[in-house]
Amino acid sequence: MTPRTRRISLLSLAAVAGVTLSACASAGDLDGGDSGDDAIVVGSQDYYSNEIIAEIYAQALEQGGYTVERDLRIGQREVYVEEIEDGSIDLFPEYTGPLLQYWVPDTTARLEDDVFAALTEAAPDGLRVLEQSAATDQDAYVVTREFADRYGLTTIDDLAKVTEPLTLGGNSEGEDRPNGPKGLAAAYGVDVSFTPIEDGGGPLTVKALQDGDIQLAIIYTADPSIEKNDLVALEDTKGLFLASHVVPIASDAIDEGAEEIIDAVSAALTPEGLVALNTESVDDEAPAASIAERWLEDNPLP
Amino acid sequence: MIEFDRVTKRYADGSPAVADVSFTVPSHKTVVLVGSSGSGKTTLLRMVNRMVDPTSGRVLIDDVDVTTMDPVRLRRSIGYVLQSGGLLPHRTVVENIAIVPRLNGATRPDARERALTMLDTVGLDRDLASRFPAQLSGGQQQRVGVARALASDPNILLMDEPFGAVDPIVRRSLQHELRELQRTLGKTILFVTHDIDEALALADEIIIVAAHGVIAQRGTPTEILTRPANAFVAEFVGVDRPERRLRLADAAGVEVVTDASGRPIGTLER
Amino acid sequence: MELLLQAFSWLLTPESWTQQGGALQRLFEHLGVTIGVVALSAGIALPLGVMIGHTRRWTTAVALLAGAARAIPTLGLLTLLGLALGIGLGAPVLALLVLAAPPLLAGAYAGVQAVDRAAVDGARSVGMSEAQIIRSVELPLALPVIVGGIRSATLQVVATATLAAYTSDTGLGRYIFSGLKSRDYPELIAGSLLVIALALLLDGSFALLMKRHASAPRSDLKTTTTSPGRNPS
Repeated sequence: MTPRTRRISLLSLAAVAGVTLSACASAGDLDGGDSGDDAIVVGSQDYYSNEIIAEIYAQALEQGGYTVERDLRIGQREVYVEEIEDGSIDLFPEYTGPLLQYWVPDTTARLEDDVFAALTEAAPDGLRVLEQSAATDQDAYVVTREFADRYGLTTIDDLAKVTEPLTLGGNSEGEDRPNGPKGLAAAYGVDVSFTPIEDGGGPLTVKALQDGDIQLAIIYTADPSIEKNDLVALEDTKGLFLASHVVPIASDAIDEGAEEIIDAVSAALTPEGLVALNTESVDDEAPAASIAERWLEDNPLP
Repeated sequence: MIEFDRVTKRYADGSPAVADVSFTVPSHKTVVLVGSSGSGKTTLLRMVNRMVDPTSGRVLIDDVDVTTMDPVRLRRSIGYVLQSGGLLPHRTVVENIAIVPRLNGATRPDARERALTMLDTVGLDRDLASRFPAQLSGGQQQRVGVARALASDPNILLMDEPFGAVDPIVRRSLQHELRELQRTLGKTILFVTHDIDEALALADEIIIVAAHGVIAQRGTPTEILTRPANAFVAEFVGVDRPERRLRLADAAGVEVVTDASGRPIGTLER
Repeated sequence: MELLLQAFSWLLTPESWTQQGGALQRLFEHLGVTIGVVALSAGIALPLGVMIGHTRRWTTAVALLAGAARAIPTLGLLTLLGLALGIGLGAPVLALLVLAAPPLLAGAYAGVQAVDRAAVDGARSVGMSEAQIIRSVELPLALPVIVGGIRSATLQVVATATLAAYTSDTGLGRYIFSGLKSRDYPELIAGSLLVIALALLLDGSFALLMKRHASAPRSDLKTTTTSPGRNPS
């Protein structure tokens, strides 16, 4: 090599080394050893609503005198559950239904209490689920308020009272899923036809409901658009949809005091409250931390 | 009869193509507008069939202002031969010739018959009738152009450098045939060219056009040749060129006509 | 590879074609949307393009507009229209009309503008009206380019008509969305293969049509350019 080429190679090597080392450093302490053993690591999904809940946990713990480290917006369940299981994360806001299905794929539990019970049992050693919140974030059949009032609908069973033809509009995977029209027919005896609207319960679906082009849509319960468009989620008495309440997973690093604080948060978080948090995030585009702060001010914990 | 009465044509930027031009084309005569390119002669020609309208002044045909006539109907009554032929490439020769009769309402068989007759008139073989223009030679295409112009038997023929893109031998032959045709048909012809020799060959009257359509001189070919009105005309006609100053020489008893430098051109017929 | 084979086996099963919502029905729906959109868009864009090409006015403005229209993402436009019109075929069809218009427009005005001006001038000078010039001279001579524009538009529409399934139960897009969302990859692949096959069929038909036209006994369509050196008459 010429002296010049050698210099370039050395510089490149140094640059690569530097980048790698800093990347390792910023990846966070994977063993969690050196950054203060008392710090509780709170994680969250890469989902704006989940991030707000995690921030609430974190700030509530800090108010209670704990040191908290945040590791937010991690990603898929496969990724972060591993980190919880190996101890890198201590506290994580989850949802009862999907988490149960992750640990017990063939579970038959559907209703909220059954799911919670099964989940409590399914949690591996070193991890436990704390109290579930009343707040839900799950798929539900929704109708317009006008439609619900017209036929007096509160549960899916009530759809039997409807005298006009029913059409469900939504993503095409809903057509053949067990909780789609087939499920409605089998579990509730309600006949529903299907038309595809591929915007995932978004504005086109809402407009179709309001225009009367469809009568039913599947929208998740924490979606701000339910409240904004005055939609009504029908109660799923037969458990077509897996119940999914907000529930914290905790490692053994969470002591009694911390658990009390988090349980208080779960108790104070209502379904409407969660929707309000989501609405605030979507409308005001405020960061999760400030939304969480405001919620804690409005809901002072004992 | 065609009359130009103080005709001016100005373009959008104000520059004049022709300025205050007046002259007449007597009926049944061939008048040739000669001048260099850009002198406005084609513009003047195209005012007769309203392809161009004057900015001021009038063009009259038999004392009727052309702007009072519907341009489409006017054009169907005038024969127009373009420089590049302007034939429709997707129609056969006979269809091209039959265009104006058809536009005037003739039935297809009648128009076809007329077109074939026109082929005879311009000296083309009837075999060419179902060919397409691109399959013809340049000279043949020009003849078809002339045939098309004559098809509806118009009184007026407008010809815009019709023989310009053909080689000199073919050109001379076409000029000759036009003279012959004109003797039998007696049309009113307004002919535009930049070639003074062509003008001398064809014209009953020559109008030499300088820039902006300004008429430098007007007269019979003999008058132009023998009495050029000014230096411009003299220059344009080329009075000093060898081929204009002919002499007689004797070659073993035969009187030979030579140009000024002694090159033989022909023999003298008394 | 496995998925491809599964897709083929799905395609080769008769029920896939004959059942309610089967491939035959979807193919016809898809073809129907394509033909309908191209015909409708052509009905507006072709006359407009011919007029612009004939008068040679507004060409810059129209070219800019057509270029801008090409840049509009069809799905985005569909969503916007859907918010105004609701679900159904209306929004997709309108969005596809916008997709089809630029190639149709461009084919029309470019084709007409490219017609030899000497031929047009000659036609005008012998007394053809403007309408006759358009009908008898410009349209026949511009036809290959115009048909090329229709071909291009058809290809774009047939490939994008899958979006009709975004808001309505129509067309081959149903297999694509359904397969994608429920992760039924054989269905997704089968749907895509059908779209490709349809596109090839339509494009092939155009190719055949244009070849048939080209080999018909016509001279080269350039106008008469006389040049010295040809065999003298």
